[in-house]
Amino acid sequence: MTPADPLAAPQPRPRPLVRRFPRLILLLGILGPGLIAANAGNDAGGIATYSAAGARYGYQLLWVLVVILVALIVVQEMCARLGSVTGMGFSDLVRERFGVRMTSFVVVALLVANLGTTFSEFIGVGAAAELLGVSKLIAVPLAAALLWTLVVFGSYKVVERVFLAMALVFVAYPIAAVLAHPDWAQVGRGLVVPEVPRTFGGVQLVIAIIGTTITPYMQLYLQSSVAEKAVRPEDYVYERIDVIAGSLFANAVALAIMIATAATLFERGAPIDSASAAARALEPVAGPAAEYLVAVGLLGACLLAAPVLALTSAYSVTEAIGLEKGVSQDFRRAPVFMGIFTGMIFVAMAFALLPGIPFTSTLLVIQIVDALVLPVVLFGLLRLTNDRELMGERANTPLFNVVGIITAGVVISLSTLLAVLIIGRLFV
Amino acid sequence: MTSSTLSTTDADLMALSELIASPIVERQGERIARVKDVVARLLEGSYPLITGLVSRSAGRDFYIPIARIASIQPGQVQLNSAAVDVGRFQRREGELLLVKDVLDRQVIDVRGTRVVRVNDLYLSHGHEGYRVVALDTGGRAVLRRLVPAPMRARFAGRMLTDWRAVEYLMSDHPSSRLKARHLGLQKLRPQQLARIVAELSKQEGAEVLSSLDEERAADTLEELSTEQQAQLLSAMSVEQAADLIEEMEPDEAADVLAKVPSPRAAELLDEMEQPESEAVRRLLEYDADSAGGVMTSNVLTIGPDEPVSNALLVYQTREDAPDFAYYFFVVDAAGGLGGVLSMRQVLIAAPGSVVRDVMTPDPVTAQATDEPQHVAEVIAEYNLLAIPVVDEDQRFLGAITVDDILDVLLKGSWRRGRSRGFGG
Repeated sequence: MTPADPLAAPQPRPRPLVRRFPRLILLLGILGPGLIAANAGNDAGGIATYSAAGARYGYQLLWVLVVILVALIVVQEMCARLGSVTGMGFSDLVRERFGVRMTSFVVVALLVANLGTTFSEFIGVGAAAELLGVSKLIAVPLAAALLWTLVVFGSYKVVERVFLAMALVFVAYPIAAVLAHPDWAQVGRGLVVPEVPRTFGGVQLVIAIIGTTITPYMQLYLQSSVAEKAVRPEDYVYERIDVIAGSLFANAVALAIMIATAATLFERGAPIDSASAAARALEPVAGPAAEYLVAVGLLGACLLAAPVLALTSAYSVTEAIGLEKGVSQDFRRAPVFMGIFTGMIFVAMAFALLPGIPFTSTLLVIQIVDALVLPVVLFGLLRLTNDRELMGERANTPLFNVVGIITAGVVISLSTLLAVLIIGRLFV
Repeated sequence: MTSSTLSTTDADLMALSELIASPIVERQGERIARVKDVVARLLEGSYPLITGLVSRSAGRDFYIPIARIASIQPGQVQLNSAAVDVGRFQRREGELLLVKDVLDRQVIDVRGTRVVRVNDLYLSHGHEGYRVVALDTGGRAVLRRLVPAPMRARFAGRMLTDWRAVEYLMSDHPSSRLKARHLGLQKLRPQQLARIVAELSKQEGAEVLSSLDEERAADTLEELSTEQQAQLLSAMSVEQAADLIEEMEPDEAADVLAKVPSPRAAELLDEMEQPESEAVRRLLEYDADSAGGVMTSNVLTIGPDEPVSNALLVYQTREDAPDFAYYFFVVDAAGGLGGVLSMRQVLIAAPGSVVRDVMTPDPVTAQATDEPQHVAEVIAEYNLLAIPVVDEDQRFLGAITVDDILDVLLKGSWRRGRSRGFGG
């Protein structure tokens, strides 16, 4: 622009760029994926698992959440760091660093876990619908068709916020936990005394809690969201804050669900195998409306998670093989991608329509499958974050490796214990 | 092998995947090691030349230079001597390890203008030695690597891409310290480059952009969504990013800066040259969803009392003349909009006439606070190519062109590239 340009005539008013609290603004801009990833743990599987733990074992398993908080933060931090440094997704990196054999193993394991988890989301949709008085035979196919259409025709981002807001009703649990007048001494004891009930059900529950809190697909989702963000690697410290805040918040809700159900259901000795039983824990805060509250939250959380699961799976496979990817209304452009995305949604939907599926026990089994896949993801994650060629100075410190290895080790040994118990049962 | 065409049915192509783990035998026929990796030297505009093998024996890696190798065949590598120096492999400049650095990675297929994954590599033997001639991007190549050797024949079928039509990305392994010039990319149009960049990670995309000259890089950037622009800029140094933003049209630059966390946006604005950053700062004042946010300030202006012939002079002397300029906006000394002078009026004006006498006075204008939808309707109603934007005192601020308004109207259905937000 020449100095004589009359465009310069209007008085240049300097844009009021926020100079006073630049750090805070930067932080708010970066917050997000960590929060979403951690809180997606509170989906159908999460609600079922945490309420089952509270209802069956009272305050005895609260300590598991404390221990898991550390693992969750460490695992999510590694994912976020990997995404921030490389700008790449997990299956991309696995393929480039470990070759095709390892990739096919990881991808198949993830597909199995994701299909199971998608199934659990549709079970959640069905349960929520029935609480609202709608048959699941109507609600579940409707939800599947709706989600597929929204994603394929590109309007999913618009409704995503609605689902997220719906899922936020679970914030009612901490209030319910206080209003239920739990025995705080018992709560304190449960939080610090690590005690695994030596029963089949107890071991099963501990594994399920791990599986639903550190869900494999969410770690991958977190990594690619961070990789995609317009945040410079130098500002990574804010990603860290996001991860820690998200984990703390999600765990606080999980803890509240356990305490609320322990206070209301365990003391009454009520067994729980339905969503309405899980809803009873909210009665102290919502009274008769508790069922509707749980229904709305469950619907929001499940509708939020199902398409992410299906899309994450489709991206994992196509990225790993190197096929066309991306949502397209034209199946011929990306047949494998669209096939996997569509298949995940509708196969999971079909399973959820089967009559007589017990809500809690089915969801628990699915969370265990998630937990079994976790060591596979952790193994890859640890190897990648220790790769100095890839990570440079941002490679893992020994602390992260120790926590990561312990987490994988605990899951593997608990699963072995569970297998032994199952075999024991078969022969007794 | 330097022939210009590559026969895709070529039977003597040797798959890298079948060479890996093949036994290495010395002259007497004794197995001494297995192939672990293949070392190749990158040559600009030609096929990479194999310079040696990394072999593995008894848990140790050692290097065998190509001079020691009599023949390479799938299933067997024959040495021409009995003794082998047990030297460690040291990467020399310009050298790549085919398994570690190339296989399973993404490269740019320049002819197909897309990003492909290297599922296998093919070597060929010519008088100058062994060279990498092609890569396989097909899914069958993956299956062949997964199944046991006897079953491989069931998954025949190759999707070959000539190596010379490929640009290899360096950003993933800084250790090789190679600097790519990506000559193949220089021939592509900004639209094609944008399609490629959209498929890469932000670091790789930044590598591609920095291999282009600033103007083409800015043109490429402008073809991408604002989110993708912000991502790419975050993967560059402040200086580099500021240089690119300077080259962009001010309205596009303002849009992308609005997407960058504000302390970083302030840093970038401070780093930019004064006139460019002033123009962008002024645009940033307006809501992105208003006429002020959509308009560009990169327009041609002329004074009311200048001779009409000056108009062409403006066009000739402006360094960064806008791409889309049919109108000259007539602005008086106080910054008020006096009229609009179209290119047609300039061309047919009698010699010696003054702008004031030729221009269209009282043109249709838009207010900076108007909604873009409303501006679009006005443009359509009056069949305009651009509309001047003024503030409440009728002072000239900039203009909205038809292509700007098209972008606004198409925003909803406008999905370029992919959202990798869900990537696994």
